[in-house]
Amino acid sequence: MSEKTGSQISPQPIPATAGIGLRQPHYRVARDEPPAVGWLEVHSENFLGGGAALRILEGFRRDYPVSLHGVGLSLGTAGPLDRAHLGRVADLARESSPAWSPSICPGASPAASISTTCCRCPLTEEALAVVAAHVGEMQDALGRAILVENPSTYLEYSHSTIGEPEFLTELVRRTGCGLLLDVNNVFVSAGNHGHDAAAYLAAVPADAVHEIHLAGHSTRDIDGALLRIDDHGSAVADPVWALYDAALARLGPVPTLIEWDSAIPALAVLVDEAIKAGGRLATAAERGDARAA
Amino acid sequence: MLALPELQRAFAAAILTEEATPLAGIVKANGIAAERRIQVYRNNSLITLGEALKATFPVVCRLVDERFFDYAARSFIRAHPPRQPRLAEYGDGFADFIGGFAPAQSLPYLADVARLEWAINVALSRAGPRAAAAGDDRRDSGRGLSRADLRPRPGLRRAALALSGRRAVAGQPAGSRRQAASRSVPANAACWSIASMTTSGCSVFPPASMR
Repeated sequence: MSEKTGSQISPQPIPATAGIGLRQPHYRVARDEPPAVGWLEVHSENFLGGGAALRILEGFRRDYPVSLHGVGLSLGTAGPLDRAHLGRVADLARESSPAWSPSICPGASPAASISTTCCRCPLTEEALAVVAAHVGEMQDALGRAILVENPSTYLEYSHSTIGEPEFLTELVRRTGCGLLLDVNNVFVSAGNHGHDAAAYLAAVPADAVHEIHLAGHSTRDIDGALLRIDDHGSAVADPVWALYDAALARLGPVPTLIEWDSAIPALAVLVDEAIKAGGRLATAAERGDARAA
Repeated sequence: MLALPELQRAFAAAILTEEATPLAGIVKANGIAAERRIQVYRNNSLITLGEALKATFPVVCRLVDERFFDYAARSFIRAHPPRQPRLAEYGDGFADFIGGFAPAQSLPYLADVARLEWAINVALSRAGPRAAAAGDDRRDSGRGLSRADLRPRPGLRRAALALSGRRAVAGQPAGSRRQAASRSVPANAACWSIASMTTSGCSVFPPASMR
């Protein structure tokens, strides 16, 4: 399945290689010994205060393409977006990438992308209208398309009327946003609700996927049933690697991020995970798993 | 069926209490009771907010041990849930909360330590022009700093402390983000001024240096 949905996305700013999520415990070691990875991702909210934090980010921007991932805008929450917060995210995007002006030079290859996680709300027409309006407002504020990430979920509402891939597909159609496909989230949510992860991958609009996330998860026994918890606190699980291979076979090489946000290990451990992802990306490229093919 | 705004208000309330929620009636069980599924979000929220507080108040955490800190943090989170989206800005009011927190009354300095840590957090996270680097004044030889145009940084904060925090912060691990702060807290302090500085820490100026 391929839909013409990603047309408003400027050329991929982040290379189709493996990057890592850079978190505070690694700022200093990464500055002193830049890790051999293709790109970095940071959480926008950690740099909105400017000052010393922004100078750290500027340092990394000199050496790497940097993707900004927003974690503080509740796109799926009814009511107005926090406009002051949105304004600060827009300021950060401008400050951290001053050459980044796709409306003026659409052929430029800006070393930054903006993404944010989709809501944890019922999947209804009402919620879709809310999310689409918020994505539109965010894109207007930033002056470009954003990537919206599929969430990990632990519950489903009985009055949901739309499947999650269809919800995201319609969001892409209405707003022109792209998608950030978190393969671990697909695996976690599928397990928690008894869905088919492979079917989810097949239903996502391939042309809209501009970034992939990989992370570890844990499991919890709840009254004899297994619940998967998206805690980003361990290495990527084998079944998630397998799902990632399936995603690459369909999508072609896509910029891929290793995330690790709790029980954060030595930077070298993240780099090793990125090397594993990078090997799979190279294989996909050799095989010609290109989405345009 | 709840409309989206009501549902989300109910969800937010369910996260902050242990009481039965109307949401349980509209969540699919699918092998795991709805209430247990909601409990996962409750746990995740408390862990995330608790970790944010721990990152902002590491010395308070060391002084009381982690379990007590978690207990205090959860009490604070329930009483003062976040009202803005930046986790790094969550914790305003924690010092006052600690000051009135009955189980912590045997540690009268704890609230002041929290006050200092909050001031450091604010100083580190506020935007401001680059601080003058060492050596900048060399270009200015002959004129001297007395004629330089010095302005307080936007992040400058003064923290008035009733009690010494020296023993309180002495246990900070070397190499931590606030190492500089821990080293420079003398015993007879009354008022500190804190300015954000570098990736490795911040500077805390005792009263004498700020006369």
